Order: sequence, then structure tokens, then C-alpha cells
Amino acid sequence: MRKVLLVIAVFCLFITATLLVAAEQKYAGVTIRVIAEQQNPTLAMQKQIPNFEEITGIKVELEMGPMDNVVGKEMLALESGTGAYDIISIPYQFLGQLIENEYLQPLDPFLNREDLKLEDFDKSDLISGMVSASGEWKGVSYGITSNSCIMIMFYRKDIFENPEEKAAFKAKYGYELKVPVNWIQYRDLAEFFTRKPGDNLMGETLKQSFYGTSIAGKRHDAMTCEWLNYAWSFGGGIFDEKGNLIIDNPKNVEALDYFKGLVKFSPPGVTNNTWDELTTQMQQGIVAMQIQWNDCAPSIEDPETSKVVGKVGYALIPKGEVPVAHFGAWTYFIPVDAPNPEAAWLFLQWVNTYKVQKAIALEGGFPCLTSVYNDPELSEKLPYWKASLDAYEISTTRPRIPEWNIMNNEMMLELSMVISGEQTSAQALANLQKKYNDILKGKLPVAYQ
Amino acid sequence: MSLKVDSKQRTALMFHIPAIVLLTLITMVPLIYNLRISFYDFSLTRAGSRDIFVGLENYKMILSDHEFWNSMWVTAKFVIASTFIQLVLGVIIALMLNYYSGSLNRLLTSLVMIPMMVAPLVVGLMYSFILNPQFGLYSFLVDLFHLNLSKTPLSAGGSALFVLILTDVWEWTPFMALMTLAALKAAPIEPYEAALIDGANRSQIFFRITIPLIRPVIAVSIILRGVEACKVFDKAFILTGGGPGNSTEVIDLFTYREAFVKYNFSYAAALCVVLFIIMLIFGILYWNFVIGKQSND
Repeated sequence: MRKVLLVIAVFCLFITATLLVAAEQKYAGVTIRVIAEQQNPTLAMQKQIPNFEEITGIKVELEMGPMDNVVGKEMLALESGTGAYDIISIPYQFLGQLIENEYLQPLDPFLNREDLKLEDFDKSDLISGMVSASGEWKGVSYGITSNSCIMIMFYRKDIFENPEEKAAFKAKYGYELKVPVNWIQYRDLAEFFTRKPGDNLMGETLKQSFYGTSIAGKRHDAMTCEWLNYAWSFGGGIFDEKGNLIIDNPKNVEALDYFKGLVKFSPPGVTNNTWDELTTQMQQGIVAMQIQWNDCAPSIEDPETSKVVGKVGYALIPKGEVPVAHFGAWTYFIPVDAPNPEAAWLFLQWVNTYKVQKAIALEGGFPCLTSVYNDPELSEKLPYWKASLDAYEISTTRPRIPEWNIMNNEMMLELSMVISGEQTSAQALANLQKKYNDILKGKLPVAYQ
Repeated sequence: MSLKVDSKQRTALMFHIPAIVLLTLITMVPLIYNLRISFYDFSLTRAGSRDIFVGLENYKMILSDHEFWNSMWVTAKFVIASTFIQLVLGVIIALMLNYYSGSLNRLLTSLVMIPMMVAPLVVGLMYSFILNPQFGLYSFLVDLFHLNLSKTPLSAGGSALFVLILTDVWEWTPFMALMTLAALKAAPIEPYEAALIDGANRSQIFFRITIPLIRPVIAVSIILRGVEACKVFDKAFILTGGGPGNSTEVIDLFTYREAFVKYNFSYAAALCVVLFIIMLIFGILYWNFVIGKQSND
């Protein structure tokens, strides 16, 4: 009898042990396919993958590429339902489209499954605002932010703090030179710092021109991303609170006129500028300030590529009627046709563990865990950390409706024609209002975005 | 009438079959698939849309699409201007090369060919660096010589298209030159001797003898270059992205945007069919005017 009991006890122990191991090793031997944009955070994550493979025994095949390629491949895979990927990373503005087409699995069933929980993953540590902005649709959670960024202001701290410049600025404009907090100051500073060769800057004669600011004016996502900050901040935007179109609103016209007005304080050739050119201009030390994505800051602080390491300050973008900071993010989702959704969920949890997120942060990414954001080592090491944290508090998102991709393309075209002087701001926005009305026919007002 | 195939022909056919099958697979199948989806409402962003049959709807939309007509107009300007400039410069260069002989000729011919060997994408990148307003060679030269030129030619519609044409001329003039040179070298000497005996002057010889002799080759080159220029994509994509506004949005860039940015596959497929028909018309015209005329001659 005792023998039988012993056997039963050993058997129970064995089962319990198996169950305990199960969470992590349950899918050992499985291969999951992940696709994401080739960016610093993804590359940093890639370096950590052997650790995941060791913990879970799951093999990861990571595919990376530039934005258009990655999104195109994902769309093709989702549309044809071939089950090509277990996890896709895609910008959040596609969320509405993906949900409408029923391409994604909700995460809620996974979040509650204890048998699939990774020990180091703490869902309460996720920054809820960020995760809901980038992965939640009508109260249902579909994804977790893979890499996020937010628009802040980069400015040349050394020049802003120079006593000679401060005195000259006060003499000319009648108030102290300091980091601009509104758009009037921003324009004044842009004008003040725009100098020709032969002029003085910080007591030295300039050999080449120096510019107050630089804007992204290429027919490209970079331009619409930047301009939306001005539009929101001036009190305009795309929809009003009720979801009616307000793109031809006078406040938007004012914001677009203001944006165009900055061309004369920017290095020539703004129509070729995307965030990449803006970063280069800041790195080369030829501009005083710009509105930029915070994920461009690591390259400003990279001594191998930048002439202004340690000379750049980071702050919130100036405030108009409302404080805004344009939030951008790529999000990991599990498609409905994912061959191994459970293994994919283990991967998602692992990416969002403290260790992996910190490694990503140290290589120029931005985490989605509160604990990593509050890590004193990061705020000490990374000069853009505090401004980024402040910006996330007031973040504003683009519409995530299915039509946004097409609307954004129309906006790029119309804005580009304003920057190149082919039409006025009012004309461009009136055209957009008409186009958007056609695109959204029967769907207005847009109740949820 | 029955087709008689002897064993020799059968053997020949067997050898051709792999090539025929391969070509059918890689050209005809995508072509037919493209034609098929152009009658559907297939968009990558709408699930199930690949099965929605819309008939000629996409074609109707193309005809009323302002952007389409703009891109056709931009492409037409690009093709005509770049082919014409290449032709004139190409003939001049060929005449100059023809003047020299021996190793100097071989050296110059090799040098002239260099731009043609550079991939169009690289040409685009090269010019985007040359024209970079802050660090490029172009703005350096404008400053150095105090030239009264815009330092940012890519920022205005007209000059951006001009730059695009210029890059194409830079890359493809050698092609025109080589074709013309080959025609000049192959031209018989007798008509020239006869003309000299008859007392013709240089310009008479050039217009009455040289031009008619090289005309067929020039016609072929114009068609080849024209068709190639219609397909310009890489340089426009890199240099301007179609901007500013849509002033350099050539038809291929427009189609690309519809397919791979907006994911409207059916609409883009219909655009390809329209472009194919236009090319076909050019092809037929060419056949009638050039080949037909030659066989009549």
C-alpha cells in the first residue's frame, strides 16, 4: 500500500514539475517567424534573441527591412492568409484597417492564461497609455508596442546659453533668450539664429550659413508627421471632438502658413528633407533647433556621426493652444493565421521583460515598461530621456481608421505643393477637405479613431 | 493543311521547350494575372477584396483621374526632352569619335561608355549627393563662381524635372553615340566618294548622305530610348520622390505609389495595362513607319 502511495506521490510531483516547466518550455522545438522594421530597437532586440531561445527552446526567425517593404509584405501575407508570420510589427495607424479585416488575434485570452506566463513578465509594468494608443481598439487589446517614438524639440544648448547671443537677442526682441515655450518665441528664435557666412555666431565669424531651424518638406510621411504637431497645437487637427472633418479649419490654415513661414529660416532644399536629412543637419551643427522624433536623438549623441555631441538640449515642442507631442509607434501583433500563437505570446512577453527592454533602451530604443523608463541609469546616461518622458504625458496620436493611409498620402501631396509654392495653404486644405469627404463618404462623423 | 514535322524539327523543338516554358512562366503568367486583377477591386488593405469583380471600373477611374493625366504629361515631357537631347548630343559625339581612328578612338569610346554602365539607382544617388544644398558639389560651384543659379534646383517643379532629364541625358547619351558610331562605321564609302567627285560640300554630304545612311539606326535608337525613358523610375524615386508636389511624378512612380504605398493592386494593375497598350501603339507605329518603310525601300 505504502509503495502505491509513494508511486502516486512521485507521479503527482512529476506532473506538477512538468506543469511548472511547461510555461517556458512547453513549445520547445517550435519555430516562430517574426517580421519588423530594421531599426536600432529591433537590432538591439535581435542581439537578445539567443536568450529567448535558451529559455524557451523556441527558435526565432526574424525578418527585417525598410518600412514600405515590411508593411507591404505583412499586408500581402495577411490578405492571402498563408500563415507566413507568427508576429508582425506594424505602425499603429494601420490598426483600424487590420481590425476591420479581422487580421489580428485579441491578446486578452493570452494575458489571462497562467499556463503561458513567463516569470519575468509583469503586465502591470506596461505603460498603459502607450500600449493602448498603439495596440488597443475599442477596449480590446491586440498588440504591445514594439518600438515607439515621440516628437520633441532639439535645440543647441551651447548657443542658447551663450551670453553674447543672449544679450543680442534681448536687445532685438525685448525678452530673454530661453528655450521657446510658444510658437511666437520659436519663430523669433528661428529668425534670430539664421545667419549668413561672415556673420558672427557665439563670437566667431561663420564660414558657412547657419540656420534657425529646419523642417521636413519632402512629399513624405516625415512632413505630415511634423506638420500635425503644428496643426494640433494651433487648435486645429483632422477631426473635431464629434468626429467631423475640420481639415479646412482656419486654425489649420494658420498652422500651415506658420510651417511654410519656417522655410526661410531653414537650410535650402527643404523639399528634400525627411527626418534623416533633419538629423544630418543637426549632426553637422548647421541648425539651431528643430521639431524631431526622439528616436533620432541617439544619432545626435553618437560621436562617430555627430559634431554636436553634448551640445544639444531636448525639450517639449512649443505650446500653442494645447500642448502636444506627436506619438508614433510600431506594434507587435499576432495575426489570426499565426501557426504558433502561443509560442508567439511567449515571445511578446519576453520582449517586454525588464532585461530586454533595458538593452533596447541603451541602444537607442524607447521601452514600454514604466520600470525601465524610471531607471536612473538611463536618465543619467541619455540626455533626451527626460524630455521624452514629459512628451509621453501629453502624447497625441494620428487617426487609426482604415482610411488613414490613403488620407495621409493625399496630405503629403497637398502639403508638398504648399511648400514648393504651387498653391496656398487655404487651397491645399480646401482640397484635402474635399478629398477626405470623398474618401470617408458614408463614414462621417468618425466616432472612433 | 497539315503541319508536318520531321524528326530534325522535332529535335529542335525539344531543345526549345525548356526556354518556351520558362519564358511563358515568367512573362505570360504574370501578364495574364495582371490583366485579370485589373478587372477586380483587389486591395491589400481590404480582406476578401481580391474576389470582387468590378469590370471596367478601374479603367473608368483612370480616365477621370487627374493624377494619372498629370503623370502622363510629366512622362511625355520627360521622354521627349531626354530622347531629343540624347539624340542630338549622341550624333555629335559619334561624329567626333568617327573622326579619330585607332587606339585614341578605342580609348575615347571606352570613356564615353562609362555613364551607361552605372545602375540608374546609383545615378540617382550620385546626383542627389551632387545636388545636396549643404554638402554637394553643385552648390559649392554655384558659390565659387557666384553663379546666378538656384542652389536647390530640386525644390521647384520645373527645374526638378529638368534635373531629372539631365541625369537621364548624362546616363544614356553614350548609348545614342555608340549606336550612331556603329552606323557610321558600317556606312559604305562609295556614296561619299561619288559626292566628293560631284562637288558636294560638307553640309550637303552630312544631310544628303550621312543622315539617310544612319537613319534606320537612329530610328531604332529613338524607339529603344523612348520606350526605356517611359519606364523611368529609379532616378525619380531617389532624386525627388515625385515632388515637389507632383511635378516629377512619372507614370511608373504613380503606379508604384498606387500599388505599394496605397496597396490598390487592381488599380495599379489597370494602370500597367494602360501603359502596355500605349507602348503597343508606339510599337505598331514604329513597325509601320520604320521597319515597313525599310522593307519598301
